[in-house]
Amino acid sequence: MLKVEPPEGDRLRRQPPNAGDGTSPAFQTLNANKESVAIAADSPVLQALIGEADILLTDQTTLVDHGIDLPDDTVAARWPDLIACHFSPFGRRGALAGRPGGELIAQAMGGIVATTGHPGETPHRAGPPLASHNAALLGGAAILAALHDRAASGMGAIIDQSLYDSSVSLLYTFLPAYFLTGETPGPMGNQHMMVAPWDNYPTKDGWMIICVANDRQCHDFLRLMGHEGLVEAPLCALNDARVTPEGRAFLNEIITAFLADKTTDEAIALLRKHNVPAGPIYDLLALMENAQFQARDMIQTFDGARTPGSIFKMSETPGRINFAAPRLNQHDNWEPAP
Amino acid sequence: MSAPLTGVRVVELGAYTTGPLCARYLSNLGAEIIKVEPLKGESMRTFAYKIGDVSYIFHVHNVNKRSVPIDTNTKDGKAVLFELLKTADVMIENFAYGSMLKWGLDYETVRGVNPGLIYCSLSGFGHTGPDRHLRAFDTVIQGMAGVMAMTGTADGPPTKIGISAADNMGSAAGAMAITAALHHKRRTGRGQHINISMHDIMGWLSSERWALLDTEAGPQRTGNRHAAIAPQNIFQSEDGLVAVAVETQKQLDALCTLLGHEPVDLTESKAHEAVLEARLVEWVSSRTTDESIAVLLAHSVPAGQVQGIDDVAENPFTWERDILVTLQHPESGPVKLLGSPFKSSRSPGVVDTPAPTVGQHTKQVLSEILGYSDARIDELTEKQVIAVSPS
Repeated sequence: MLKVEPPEGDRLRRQPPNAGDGTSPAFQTLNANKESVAIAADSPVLQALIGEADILLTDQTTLVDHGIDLPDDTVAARWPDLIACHFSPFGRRGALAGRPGGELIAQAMGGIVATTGHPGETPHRAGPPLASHNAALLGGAAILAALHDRAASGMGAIIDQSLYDSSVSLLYTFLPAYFLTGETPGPMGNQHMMVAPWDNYPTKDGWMIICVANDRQCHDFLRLMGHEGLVEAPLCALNDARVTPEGRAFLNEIITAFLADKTTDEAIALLRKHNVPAGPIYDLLALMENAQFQARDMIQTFDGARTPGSIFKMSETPGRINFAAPRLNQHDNWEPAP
Repeated sequence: MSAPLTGVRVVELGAYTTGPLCARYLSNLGAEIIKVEPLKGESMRTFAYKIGDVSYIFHVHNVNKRSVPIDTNTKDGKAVLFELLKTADVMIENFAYGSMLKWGLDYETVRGVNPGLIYCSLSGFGHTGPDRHLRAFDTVIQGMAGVMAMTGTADGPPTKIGISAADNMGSAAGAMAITAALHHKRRTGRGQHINISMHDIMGWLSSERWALLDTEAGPQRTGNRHAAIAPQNIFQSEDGLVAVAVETQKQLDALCTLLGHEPVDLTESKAHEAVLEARLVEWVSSRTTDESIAVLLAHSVPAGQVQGIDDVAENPFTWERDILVTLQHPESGPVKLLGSPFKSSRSPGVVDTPAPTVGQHTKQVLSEILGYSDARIDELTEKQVIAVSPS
């Protein structure tokens, strides 16, 4: 993986915090396993490098920022066996093609913001870069499929991977209501549209999640909380009543009172013992300390900087993190083949 | 034009979202999908919001597939499945860890039938590690992967991403791992076992902010703001919500010019966030959404409307990109569905046939691929080993 950077380096190298040496932690988490060469946009070396490659990855924001023009037809004509994947906010064709944007704009236009957050408030973006990461995975699949095809056909491909497409593709739990009833579903907080109680709840020392999926689990939960008498109560007995605003409010009050004198750990142990689905809400520090995440080798450390491990656990070809993110132009000894 | 995975055969033993959507993605890339489902049909067929008597979500996840119901708990059913798997390149399953072993369908067993098979398992926590036995709901996984802690505002509760992020990204990661494994298979003839963990993937999704762990304040929930760059936020216009988000120095320079603010260095932009946001609040509030976005874009400042589900569904651009498509269903007529997210010069992405009825392709698949006679198919149907669609 050869990372071609402008002479001043990828802009992420200077993103705070701790960007003093031009290799910010934010840069390092995304660039392990890569070699770096710094090249000016108009250098013929750039063209030579592309000629040597199997796969070319570009993104619109970076190309625009550096005035690099690589139209699809030029790429296809000059390098017919190249697999070129271009990432952009709105794609290479269509009325919005070429519009500037990034993660927040893609989430806003793509319906992610309108479906995240709590009713009555300004909706929220997904905190992590959902549109970008999903586009990256879909682009990865498209590239590898094209490589599979090339082995037989000898032909390259120009792949047009947009963040908008990647976001809208995620909306299948919200689209049915609109298409079938004309209603426009909005954010539900942490609740589930179709079952209750299902939410985050405060404990003595933090938050936890409880996801009650059916009547039996709810009745077990009511008994655990010492409310045997409510099992047959009109607002508790059946999910149809529990999902009404009155049902949700009634149960949430009982649950909140029950959890008030328990730590998250105590409550989760108790609920799991009684087969009530529940889980903690980990902040990033807790995630770093999570035994499961560690056992899966999901945290690698190079020079004190954390890099995510590979999500590809494969028996024959396991994903690997071989080396840390490069310094700018660390691999400038690259030479085009004679 | 030819779809890149043409000729690749996938057997899907999935339920609900992760397995079926992973197979659907491969079908969009041209693979042939045989959906092996229970005789009564896969569970997601019964979910709410139905088209005809089948849930809308099932229609979305199961376009392009052929349905072959098999009772794999019977000896004869398992034999039929193994014959199919002998002819397949890929198998996908998304059952709870341990289920496939219990059913005699685990990787070690299936590898004995077809050593070249790529066997992809998708589960909440993967097939290794102390939590692998935990059952997974999308919300629990988002909570346990730091994703909820990053979403929402600092003074509000941790918030889940509205859509089922863990399910979805597990499907996409599975599709990417399988296409990589196809190269290994082409070179060596060898299959392998892929075990994808939704928890791994949600944790990886959070990695952008791991860098903040070493700062004094630590990672915070920042609402719609970016942790390191400003301004990025959502602003109220006269008639809606406008997202504005600069990412590069050029874009920030353009915004400062537009707002009459002196130039700001992008790496120090968080220090100017309050002032820049205050100007944007005022600027956007006195304009319509369309006008705000038009002016910002004319200055090359990234901006966009916060589109509701109705806006996304009605925006002609969504249809122009074929992200929403209309498929003709033989019984239900025209059905609006999600299209293919894969656009390439070699293939626009395959969205070919609507989701199958239960057993719609049993006869076709078993006769064409396995050479079964009509009498054999009738016998297996009679014994309730397989099911054939009545129509």
